[in-house]
Amino acid sequence: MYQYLSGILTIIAINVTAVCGLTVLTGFTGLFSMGHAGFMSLGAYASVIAMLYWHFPFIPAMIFGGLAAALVGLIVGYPTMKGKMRGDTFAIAMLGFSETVRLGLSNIYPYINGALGISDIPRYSEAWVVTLIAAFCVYITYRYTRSKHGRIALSIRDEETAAELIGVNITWEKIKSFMISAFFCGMAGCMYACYYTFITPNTFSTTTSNNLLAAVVFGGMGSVTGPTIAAAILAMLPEMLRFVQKWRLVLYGAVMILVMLFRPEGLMGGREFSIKGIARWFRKIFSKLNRRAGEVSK
Amino acid sequence: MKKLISLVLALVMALSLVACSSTNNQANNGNASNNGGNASDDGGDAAGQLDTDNPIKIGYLAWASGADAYMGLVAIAALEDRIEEINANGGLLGREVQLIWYDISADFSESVNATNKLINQDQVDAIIGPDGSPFAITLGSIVEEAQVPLLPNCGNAEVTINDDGSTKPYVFRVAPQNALTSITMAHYAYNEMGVRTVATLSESTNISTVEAVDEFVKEFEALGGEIVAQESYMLNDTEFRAQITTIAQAEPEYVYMPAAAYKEVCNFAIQLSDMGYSDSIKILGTDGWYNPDALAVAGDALDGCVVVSALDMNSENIAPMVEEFAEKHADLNASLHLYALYAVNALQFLEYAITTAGSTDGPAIKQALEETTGVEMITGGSWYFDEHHDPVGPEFTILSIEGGEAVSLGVYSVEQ
Repeated sequence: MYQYLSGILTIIAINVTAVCGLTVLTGFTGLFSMGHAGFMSLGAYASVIAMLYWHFPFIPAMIFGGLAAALVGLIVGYPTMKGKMRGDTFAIAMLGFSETVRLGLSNIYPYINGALGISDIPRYSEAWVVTLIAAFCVYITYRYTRSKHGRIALSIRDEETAAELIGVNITWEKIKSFMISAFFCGMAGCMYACYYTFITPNTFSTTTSNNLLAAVVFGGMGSVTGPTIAAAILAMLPEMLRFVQKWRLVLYGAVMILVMLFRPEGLMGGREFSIKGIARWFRKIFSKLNRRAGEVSK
Repeated sequence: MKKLISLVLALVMALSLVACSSTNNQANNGNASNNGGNASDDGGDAAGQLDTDNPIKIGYLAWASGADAYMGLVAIAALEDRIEEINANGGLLGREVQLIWYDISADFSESVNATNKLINQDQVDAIIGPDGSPFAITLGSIVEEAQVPLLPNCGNAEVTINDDGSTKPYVFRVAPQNALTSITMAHYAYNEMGVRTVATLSESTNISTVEAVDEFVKEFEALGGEIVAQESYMLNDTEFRAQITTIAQAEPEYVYMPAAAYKEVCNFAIQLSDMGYSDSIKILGTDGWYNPDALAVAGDALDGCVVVSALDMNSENIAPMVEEFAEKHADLNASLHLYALYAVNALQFLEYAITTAGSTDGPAIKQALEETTGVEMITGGSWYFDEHHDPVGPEFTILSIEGGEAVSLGVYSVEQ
């Protein structure tokens, strides 16, 4: 029982870490990416090379993977941000990027074995380790988005021209968000490789990218805790729905449609999850009920 | 109203999570194929003594949703039929046999999650599958730790062997290795068919097809043949005209296409025919896509293709099984295929091992599997495992496709 639940917890932690990155980019800076699986892939491969060939321990290898992904983020980010790509053009450019990474890695045989992938990766991703890392990432993301940098990012998301007029360096701020998102995804890629112990270029597919983006939108743009909760739910859902057998993935899609239909602003909207918030929410419900009860008794 | 509905949705999610984590057995019942009821109805005295309180649980990791769901759904039905038969004949060690299957098609991590669930929650005695190498490679250490034998039906070398060359102790492959299939095809094409120029076509990121093509190229060139073009396509591609144009310019006699599923081959063959090359270029294929349904979909377009397969679907053992399956499972709308038969072969190995060992302990089953000198398979022949836990016994049959039917050209083996 323990291993099964810890396996799911590990997957949740990995998803949460990757989604933290995308929260900064999509939720706060307003750039939609459909290709962040590419950064997970790069991070995974870079860290695995560091572990297997240069004997890095897990955490340094993970940070190395994150940095490698962030570096590629800079290289890819500069021309796209300089070219003022945003909205659909940026999303499609990122889709192209992740496919390029996937096919590129499939054709490189020295060190990474091309499409055949790398096996026998040490299983370092213990549930408690990755959960701690994910919690730390959520905290960092929260602090970042509440800082000056977060507010600048929000200003770009909400009104880019106005932000530029008040002197915000739009290109640099966007690149910064992009690199942060790549860094988190790279780390998540490393954690995934050390959980699954075998990676191929196909491990991180377009579906992975879509799930990350879905978690951000599903959780609420402009919230950190919303996407975190959404990432956890989306990671658990396929396991929770096992009782419906082959209809499982159909139901998974249906739940997503329903949530977006009834809560287009996402689970948390732009708010954050807090005990105080829940208490306030309950108080509001109770006062409404009381009022209704009063009306009925009249 | 909106808020109310959202609240209800959130509650449903939360409740289903609680239900899933607290009542393990409920979820299992959904996927458990309990054939005990049938058994006691049909089985007479033997089934009357069947111990249904303490069943032998066999897990199966199935590719059971999405475009290639036929791979898993057909295998599940075939395994259930076999288990029904076993239970009707008194079960194993007097105990009822149960199949518990989980779908693993959503993403890679699912095979690890499903295996952990089978081992930890359902406490299965052995696991059959998965049929995809990338899903199976990672499971060696998990089943070793839990001492639960795993019998995957897929072909990559690393499924049973670690990087350092050691054998994964609890993994026993029940399908031939990709390399062996490709080498056999290369030898047959060069020596028996007199083919000298071949082009290859692989799915660029699919580990099995890439490995199969690599092995074929190595062997065919070593024999003296020439590889005139190496083309690739992407996952879920349906359009092959660009590759066909390039391949046609290189003028090969055959195209070696070891696809993992039949739809790509059908599309390729139909487009080859549409473009007018079907007379000059034929396909060399493997059992990854050899399926009666492929022949039905592609029709005449596959005529003249040559396929190497470890099981001959037209053999006297298998042909009646295919027919019987089609009658019994008409609702599935899919034919019995090779990978389902490999899964049934895996179940036969387990039947043998559990009966021989007189126990369902992992180490005892493992020992019985390692020590066997041959288990008579319902698909024909006697199979056992070599020191790397690869099957010895499957004989490669060469099939030629003529008039939409596969015609057996006989058994062929590479002389060492």
